Amino acid sequence: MESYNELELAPASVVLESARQYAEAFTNTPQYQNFVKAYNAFLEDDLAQGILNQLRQKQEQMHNQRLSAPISEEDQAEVKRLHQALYEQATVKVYLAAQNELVTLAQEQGDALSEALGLDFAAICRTGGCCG
Amino acid sequence: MDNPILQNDTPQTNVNFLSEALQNLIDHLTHSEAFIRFRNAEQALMNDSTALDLLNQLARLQQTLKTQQRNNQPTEETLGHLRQLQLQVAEHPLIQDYEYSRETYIALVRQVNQQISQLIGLDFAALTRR
Repeated sequence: MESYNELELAPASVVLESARQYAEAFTNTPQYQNFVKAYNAFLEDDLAQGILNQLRQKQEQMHNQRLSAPISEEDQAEVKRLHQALYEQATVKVYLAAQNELVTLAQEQGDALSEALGLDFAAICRTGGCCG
Repeated sequence: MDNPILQNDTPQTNVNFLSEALQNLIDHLTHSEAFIRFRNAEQALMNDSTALDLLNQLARLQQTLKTQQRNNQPTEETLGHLRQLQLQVAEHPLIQDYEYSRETYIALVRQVNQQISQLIGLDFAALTRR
């Protein structure tokens, strides 16, 4: 890594190298490791993936139909049932819990970054869209 | 999830390692040319009463215009005044320098986010959002 004197400026290459090192440290946290494990377990859970596919198909079907007919109570009930079935799967529960842990860690890191840099890190890095 | 770092390295679960890495990143960012230029431009702008007065006038006029638009009656006078002020603001060298340095600084921070996001396989900034 390129070094620099404290009185000198850090070149962009040094900044990006420290970003790479930070990413490496982040991937080595238990929160990230658990998240990746939980995500892979969820992907490999055929039952959970099957329910997720059914849910997506149902939502797509309702989306396509909504211009021609109102959404029926049966369709709404089916979506609710599929949601419940999905959230009852052990791999989904573990995945969501791991995601929460990861987000909590990232938010703490983001807050520290924003405070030190004098800007809202998440807001200025937001891509696409115009609002909110 | 395909992550080369995760696949090749032995996991280090030390939270201090993450804090050190974050501090290192912050130190380098706050010693970058983009950050120093931005801070200097910001300070110069804050010390210039003419520039601040222009910006305050512009903010007040934009508020007036919003009110008039809500009532469906933006006046030609307000619109003309607004265009004139916008031109003055755009041409003010300290404001120009501030805007330019801010954009450069933000571009660097976005590059940092892209670098981190690419390596962790997730949009890091989106994860940090509250």
